[in-house]
Order: sequence, then structure tokens, then C-alpha cells
Amino acid sequence: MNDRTSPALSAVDRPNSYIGRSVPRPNARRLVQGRGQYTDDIAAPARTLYAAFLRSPYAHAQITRIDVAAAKSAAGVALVVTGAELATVCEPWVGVLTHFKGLRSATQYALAVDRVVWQGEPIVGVVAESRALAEDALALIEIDYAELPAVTDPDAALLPDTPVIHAELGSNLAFALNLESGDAEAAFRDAHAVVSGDFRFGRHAPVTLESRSILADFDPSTRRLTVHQSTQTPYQMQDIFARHLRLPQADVRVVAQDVGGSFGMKLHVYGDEMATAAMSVMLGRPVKFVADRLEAFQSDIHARDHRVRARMAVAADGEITGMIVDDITGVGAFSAYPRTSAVEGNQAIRLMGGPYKLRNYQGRLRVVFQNKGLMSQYRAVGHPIACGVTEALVDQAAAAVGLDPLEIRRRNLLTDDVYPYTSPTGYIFERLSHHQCLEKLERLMDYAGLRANQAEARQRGVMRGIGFAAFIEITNPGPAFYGVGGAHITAQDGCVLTLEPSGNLRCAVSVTEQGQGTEAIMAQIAASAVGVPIEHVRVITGDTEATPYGGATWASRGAGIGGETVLITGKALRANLLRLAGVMLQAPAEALDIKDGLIVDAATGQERLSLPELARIAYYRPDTLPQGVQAELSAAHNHVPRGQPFAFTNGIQASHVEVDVETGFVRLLNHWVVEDCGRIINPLLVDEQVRGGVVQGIGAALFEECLYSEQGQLLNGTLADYLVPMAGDMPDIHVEHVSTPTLHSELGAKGAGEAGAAGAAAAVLNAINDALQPLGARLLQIPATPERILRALGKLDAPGRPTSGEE
Amino acid sequence: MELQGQHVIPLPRPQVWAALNDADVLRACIPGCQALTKTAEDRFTATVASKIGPVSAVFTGEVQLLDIVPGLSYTISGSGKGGVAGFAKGRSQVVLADGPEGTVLSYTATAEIGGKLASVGSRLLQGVARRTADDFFTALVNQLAPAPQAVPSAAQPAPEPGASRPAEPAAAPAAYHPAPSAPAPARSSALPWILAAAGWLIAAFLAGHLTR
Amino acid sequence: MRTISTTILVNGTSVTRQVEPRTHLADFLRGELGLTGTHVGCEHGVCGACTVLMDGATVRACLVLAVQASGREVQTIEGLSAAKHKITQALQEAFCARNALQCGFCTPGLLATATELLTQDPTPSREAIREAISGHYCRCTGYHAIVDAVQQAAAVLATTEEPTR
Repeated sequence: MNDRTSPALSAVDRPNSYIGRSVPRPNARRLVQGRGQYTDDIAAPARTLYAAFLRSPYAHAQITRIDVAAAKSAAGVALVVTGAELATVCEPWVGVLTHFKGLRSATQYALAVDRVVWQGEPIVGVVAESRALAEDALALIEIDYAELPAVTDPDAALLPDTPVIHAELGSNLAFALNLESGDAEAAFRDAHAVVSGDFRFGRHAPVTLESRSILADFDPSTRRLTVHQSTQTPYQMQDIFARHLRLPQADVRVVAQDVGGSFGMKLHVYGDEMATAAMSVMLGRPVKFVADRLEAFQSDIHARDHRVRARMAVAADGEITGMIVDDITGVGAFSAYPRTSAVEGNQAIRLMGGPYKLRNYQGRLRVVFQNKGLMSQYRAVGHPIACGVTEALVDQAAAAVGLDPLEIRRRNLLTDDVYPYTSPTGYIFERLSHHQCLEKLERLMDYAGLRANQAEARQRGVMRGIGFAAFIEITNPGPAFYGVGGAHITAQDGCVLTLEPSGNLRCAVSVTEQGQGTEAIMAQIAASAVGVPIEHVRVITGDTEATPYGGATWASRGAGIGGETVLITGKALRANLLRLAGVMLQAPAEALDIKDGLIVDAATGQERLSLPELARIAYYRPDTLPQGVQAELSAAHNHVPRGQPFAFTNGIQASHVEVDVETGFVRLLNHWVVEDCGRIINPLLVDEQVRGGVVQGIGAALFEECLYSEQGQLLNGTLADYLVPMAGDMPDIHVEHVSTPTLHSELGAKGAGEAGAAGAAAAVLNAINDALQPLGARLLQIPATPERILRALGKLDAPGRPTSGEE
Repeated sequence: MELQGQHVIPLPRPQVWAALNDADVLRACIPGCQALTKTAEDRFTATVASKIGPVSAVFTGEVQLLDIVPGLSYTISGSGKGGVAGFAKGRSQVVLADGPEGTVLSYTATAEIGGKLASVGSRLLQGVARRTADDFFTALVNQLAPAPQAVPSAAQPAPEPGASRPAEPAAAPAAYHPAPSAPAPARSSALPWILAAAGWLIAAFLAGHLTR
Repeated sequence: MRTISTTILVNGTSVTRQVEPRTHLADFLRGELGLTGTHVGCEHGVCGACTVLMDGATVRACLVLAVQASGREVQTIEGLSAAKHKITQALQEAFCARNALQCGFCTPGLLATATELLTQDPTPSREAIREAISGHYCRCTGYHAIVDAVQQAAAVLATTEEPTR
């Protein structure tokens, strides 16, 4: 690749010279040349062995016999381990946290012991000279099962005659929560109209293109464990490996180099990965495990799986006066560890009605166990559920009182003068910009023109629809998220910034990169804070040995928390360097400045000393400095948000679709997003975060669903059977911004990773229903497959393929 | 998965009944059958191997006969374990009746697969079960009524008796079916006998696509 | 297991290895030659991450056996990069400038297909680009930026192209 020329550094916009600019990502150049180092690409250490796992073919069964004798003596096999044996090396876990009062789960072993509770649960691990030999040995293992009845449907999970998956818990209820604010019953009594729906949100799979991968290398001579892992959060995993394998935390190093997609999926603890690390400890040799695509479908956490009964009360003028919501969500056989599977449902019922002035609210949540793989945090945790239910009901309410869908939103969205505002469910909104976003969207999409187009198309029998979704997004989580519940998941991030002898900066930071552009953003901030060209900053992430301990990248926290950390660190280093330059130049530090990598006279901008020269003197000729002067060439800082438990962003999306009412197929014509993530550090990266999120939301809206038989068998565990959005199906996505920086940080960034995914599905479903409205049809289930659309139109009677619930 | 079908076998009913209870005949007819042993009057154990591409897989299981009305009907229930590939279970009711062209065999069947088989193969199950059943059926007809005595045209070489998979399935049954169109009955579907075995075969088939 | 002597021209260099018949080209490139820019995403020809050029045409390296590539010329992303293949290079520049990749796992395969596309059609429409890359799953970008980048590369190539007719 050619050398990139850096955007010129302007003295006018310093210290924010790179902030707000579309700086390309430095690490992209490696990736486009195929030089990424994903975990499976890392050159395996000598004597590396390969793991494979025998997984349960049953969703629920007692294991009555395991015979591994033949596998143990198979060619190339180094180790065969059952669940009970592995448990002697690897402590089991329970996915609960104390701040989710009443949350329960059962003890989960890395490899199943005595009983299997989902199809695909790992039972036996085999380690051999190659993956192929390990798989050959798996075929020699004999296991007898006594099949038990499987619990699959979330509604049925709590019925009295349904079997209880974990007998010690007494029921299949993992967590329940009731919220009440205002007087919802009265609101419904007095309502001009009441609208309601029975919504279903399919269970979908993350489908990161790089599957979960781990290379664990335990050195028995030093008793140190080095783990290369495709994870978002090496620090959390360092703690987990240490505690569960009974090693000192200091003796565990976790490295996450390039990560091929994560979206929240690579935050959780997986039995096969824990077993791989444990087997490395048992053998004292490196062991690698890379999940194949089927294993990914069967064992990655899934997302959503909600059934929501909801009602909305509306006054004659369109004011939304009340909302009552009952959400039941199936989380699979266990609550996931260590973040729990209560967060999705908790956020879903707390975010209901979030963008609106609604005061009277009742929310009920039940989180239930099923004999399916685990469901847990995935991009925009709970948001698409809250947004989908709320926005569909808002459209119904508009129809009930004869208002335009955009107009009813205009009348009900929180106005810009109410902040700070506490929502009925206890969320605190610092400053949101719903109305600015709505107005911008209306212009951007040419709403009036689209409505005219819609009317004209209907004349020709072409059914087009327009759907809106206003949303809020939770970002920048503080310790209220996990730490207060007892999890060893830090909400702070750390940065160490050093002026190296070359005069360049080395920025070691605890936020991690999975393609969002974390490293580019941190370089922008560090360069701006110190005053150097961005090419002079090298950012180091993803290695517990090389970076400070921190929260890493999830919940849209990278820019907001990690970025603020780097900004404060950069300012501290800048002060150090100016102080040192002052000594060297015999000038007061306040009279000096750093611009474009040079120490300059603050008043005139005249160059006094280059940073490489300052570094040379500081590192190699400190003898030339006055007695007693120590050159402080590094700065370190740890930062955690203290102003509020977490931040909120907001925005609104619109979708334009065409529904073929003969085939049920939906064609996406256009999609628009206007969002407010506070200070935008890099517009190029933010826009692509939004677009990527939108397409994941469209996947949930139209295509993606894990289908299960009544016996709990996953029926579409391949990419030929499980549909994800393809380029040809997707529209261009128009993204605009309103910027309302948070005042709780100097940087003002709120986070942008999940906004697209939060509202896209709701906008698409509303657009479909808008298209179907003249035909009297309505669909309240996603994915909105052609079959379901035809059924909603009354054009299909026979049941189709089995799904997670009954049709 | 549910299957049902009917097939005409150009032989007297007692002979068909006997064949359907004869381990040797079945062993020869179930594609890939390595062992089929009668363990009791109403029980068999079976081992079915399949080699597809570079992969071999072996499926073992038990088949039980229930509600036996000799010479007329029974219910067959079977399950097989395919190791890492998963499992298959099947149950079928079989009824024999006399017809103008021989014995009419009718069946209804349900089959369930689990594990890897279900997750990667559900979409293919119906088609594979049907094809496997066709192969079995053709082989059975050849077993019971060897082709040479029935094939009018000398041009077609007779299938080897006992061959588990005749080279040209079209030839032999043609002679027994006056139906103008298809040599093999167009609706010839799965024979219930092999539904359990079919599961194992499906497993083997899929294993060939899964493992590398 | 039986092995077969297999000679493939990989990125301009002839390589001969004893390979098991079951080894597919993607594993061969990654395991035998260390060409880890070819990524394996689904192993059944759906996701497109393993796409490479064989005799100039795209193939899924997970669906081609190494022995089938015997006597053929295979170009991976490493080879296209090292050879400074004009089209690939323009695409790489445009992908970086437009941020048309995030995690980057799908990118080498996409670049192979986009290289083939621009070789055959130097001025594709957005629809043609979307159609051409529909065999590649990208979970990060939503595709919009990729379409932009391919268009941008085509535009750059058009201005630098010497008139051929």
C-alpha cells in the first residue's frame, strides 16, 4: 500500500485536531493484505495438540454409560477427558450475580457430568496430534443415554406439568421482575383507545465469521498459562482462567490479537474453551481448539427468543398514556457465566417506551430455562425487543386515533427541555435529541415524497411501506452493570502512554479491537491530546501482559470510557513533556506548546525543540539535565465513569420496503438512520458501526432464526440452512448525526456500536405492516419470513417447518 | 418426519411376510448392512456401515416388532446410534393385503433424527430417506424374485442375486409391473422395515459431508 | 493414510507436497504453506471467506481438494498483494480509505471476487457489485461501504488506465 498522507494538523482546532476526522484505520492495511493474525492463524508452538469434543445429540438426557477406552488407544491421541475428570482440574460455575435479585441457575461444568441439557453440550474432550485424529477418536467413544423430555417453548416452561430441567431449582424460572410506575391501570381505564399485540422475537445466532478459537499453552516448569483467544475481553478471561483452573492471576496471560467478529458473543465463558485450557494444564502442552460452523451454531450464545404481550393506552389527541408489558424470554439450559442471562430481559422491559413521555408503566419479566443452547448478551442487548414492541404499538396507536406515524412520534417523544430526565423504569437521561433527530430524518428521507410514491404504487397494486423506529441505546456502563453484582468485570479502563526514544508515542490501552476501529480512535485521541502526528502513535491492545487491566470493548464503551482514559492520559503526558522541555529550554512550561510533534513557543508557534530531540536527551543524555531533574516520559491513568450509572444515546430509523403479496418476499428499498452518539471522534468509523448494526437488525427482522424441533433439536445448523443478510438483499443505508456530547466526560463521546441494531428490526417490521395495512394484515413476529407474511395475509393455511414456538 | 406409502410386490402375501422376517434377506437388501441378527422372535440388532467419500461411519441399533398379526401386519420400532453423528429413531405400522398384481404393502412411518444429523441434515432428510428406501425396495424385489426369470429382454444383464444395490434398478421390477410408465413404482417410498436403518444411512450419508 | 504427490503453482511459485486426498485447498494453503490470509468460515462453500483465484477465476478453497488444484495456478491474497496486482491494489486502497472492512475476516475472499469482477467489468453498477459479492458473508459492515469501495477502485482504475483501444 502507498503511504498515507496525514490530514493536516491545524492549530485552530487543537487540542482536538484529529477528533471528528475520518481517519482511516492503520490496522486495516494488514487485514486487506491477508496479514491478520486471528487465533487460528497464529503459528502453533512446538508440540501443539488439537482438541475436539463429543457433543450431546439429545437436548435432555441422562448419561448412563461412557466408554472411552477405544478412543484413548486410538492413533495420535494424547488425552481423553470426561466431565467428571475435567472437573478435578476446572472448577464449575454458576451464572448468577447478586444485583439481579432472585436470579438462579444451576452449576455448569465445562464438560457435562451425568446429564446433558442441550443438544450440542460438550461431554468428552479428546486431544490428539491433529484435529482430524481427534475427530477420528471421537467416533470410537460409546455413550449410552436415557432420553428425558425436553423443554423448548418458553411459555410451556412454567406450566405445572412441564418437567423441571434443574430439579434443585424447583422450577424452570431463572429470574422474574415486576416494574410499576404511575398508574397504568387507570391509564387504560381512561384511554381513548387501547392497542395491543402478542409479539414474538426469534432466537438468532451471532454467526461471527471467525468462530470461537483458543490456543492454550501451559508451561509446567513455570506453571504459567498463556492463552491466545478470540475474545473481546482478555482481562475478564484472565481472571476466569486463573480462578477456575486454580492458578495465580499473575501467572495467566491472555492475548486477543485479531478477532473476526464478536458482537457480544465472545464475552461469555464456554465449556469447550475452558476444557481446552484445562487440558493444556493437564498435559503441559499447547492445545488448540477452533469451533467448526456447526459447533458455533450449537454452542455460541444465541440472542433474543422473547415472547411479549403488550398493550398501549392512547388519548384522543394521540398522547400515549400507558403501557403494560409481559415479556417471557427463554435463555437455554443455564444462565450464562459470568455476565448472566438476565440482562437481556432486564433491559428489554426497562427500555420499553423509552423515547416517549409515557409515565404510566407496568412491566413484567420472566426469564425461563429451556433445553436449548444458552441465550445471553448480544449486540444491542434487549433493545430490539423494547424498540420492536414499543414502535409497533405506536404505529397501531397512530392508526387508532387517525394520526400519521411520524406525527404521533412528534407528539410523544421526550422534548428537548426535560433533561435531565428519569424514565418510569428508573433510567436517567442526561441529554437526548429526539426531536432534532426526527426533523433531520423527515428531511433526509423526503417523507412527503415517499408517501406520495406509496399512494401511486398502490394504484399499480405495488405494496410499499414506510416504518419508523425511535430508539435509545444504553452505553458507557459503569460498575452498576456487573461489578456491583459481584462479577470480576471491571468498568474502568487503563492507559499507559509513553514517549519512546524515537520521539513516537506508545499507547497501551485496555479497550480492545474487533474491527470497530478502536486502535484508530485511540490513536486519534492520544495524538490530539499530546499534539503529535497520528502516524507517530502506536496503539497496543489485547494482551494482558502488555496493557493495563480494564473492561475492554463491549456495551458501546470503547470510545466513551476507553477514549476518555486515553485523553486524560495524553494530557498528563503532555504536561510531563512540556515540563521537561521547559527545563531543557529554560522557559516556563506554560509558555510552551506541543504541535505536530514539535515543542513550540506557545505565543508565536515558533519551533523550539522536536520531540525526537527531547526524547534523545531524556533517554541518552540525562546527564545534561540539571541536578535533581527526572524525565517523566510516561503517564498512566485509569478511568471509570462516575457521573451516571451509564449513558444513553438516541436516534430514529426509517425503513422503506416493498412486499410482494403473492410470494411474501420483502424487498428493502431504503433505510435511514439519524442518531446522536455525542461527540463523534471518527465519522467514517461511526457510520460503518451504524450500518453494520442496521444490517444485523435487518437479519433479525427478515431472515435469521434458530429453528428447533419439539425435542430440542436445532434444525438449521449450517450457513446453507440459516440465512444471513447478503449484499444483494441489502439496501443502501443513509446515516446522519446529531451531536449532543455528554458532559460527564471531557471527550463527550457516548458510544455508537449498537444504535443500528437497536432499531432496525422495528423499523423494517413497521414498514412491512404499513405495506400490508390496506390488505388488513398485520404481522407481529420476526423474522418476517415469506411464509409468515403469506399466513398473515391469509394466503397460507398449512403449517410450515417447525419453529422454536408453535406458529 | 412423517412418511407414508404403498407398494405392490408381485408375490403372494405369505412369501412377502416371510421375507420381511428373514434376517438374511434383509441383510442383503439394506444398503450398507454389515450385520443384521435376529435376537428374538420380535427383535433384531443391526449394524449399518456407509462409506461416502473418504469417510466411513458405522451405525448400530436395535429393531423391535410390536403388535404382530402374522402374515398381515405389525408395528416396527427401531433406534440407532451413529456416535458423533447423532441418532435416528423410527416407528412404522406395516399392513399387507392381497391385490390383483401381488401383495400390497402399505405403511405409515415417523422418523426422528438427532444431534449433528438433525442440525445439518433436516433439510435433506425427506429426500435421503426416500432414496434410501427406493434402493432397499428394489433390492428386496430382486431378492424375492430374481430378475432372469422375469426379464423379457435379454439385453439387460440380470442383477446379481443378493447384491445390495443392483446396478440398474429399472430393469428388474419392470417385468412385474404392467403400469405403462415407471419401471420402478413412481410412489415407491420408504419401506418401513428400513426406516430405522434409513436413519443410520442418512447419518452415514451426512457424515460424509460433515467430516473432512 | 494414502498421500498423493501434488504440484500447484501458488502465487507464482511451484510447490510440491504429499497430501492426503481429503485435504481441501484451504487447509493446504493454510496448513502446508502458512498462507493464513485464506480464511475458513463455514467449510461448505457458503460464506466465501476462503475464496481464492484458480487459473484466474474465483473458487471456494474449502470446496476444492488440494489434489484437484494439481497443475493449476492458485493466487491467494498474499500473492495478489506481493505481486502488486493492479486491480487488487486499487481495491485494497479503496477498502482502507472507505473503511470497507471491520474485523477483516471476510476481506481477502471479497478482494478476490472483486478483483475478478473488475477484471471482467471495469465499470460495474452498484447492483452488479452487490450481485457479484452476494456469495460473501460480511457480518460487520452491512455491505454498503464495500459497494462504495469497489466503485471507488473502479473509478481510480479508470483514470489511471491507459487507453487500450
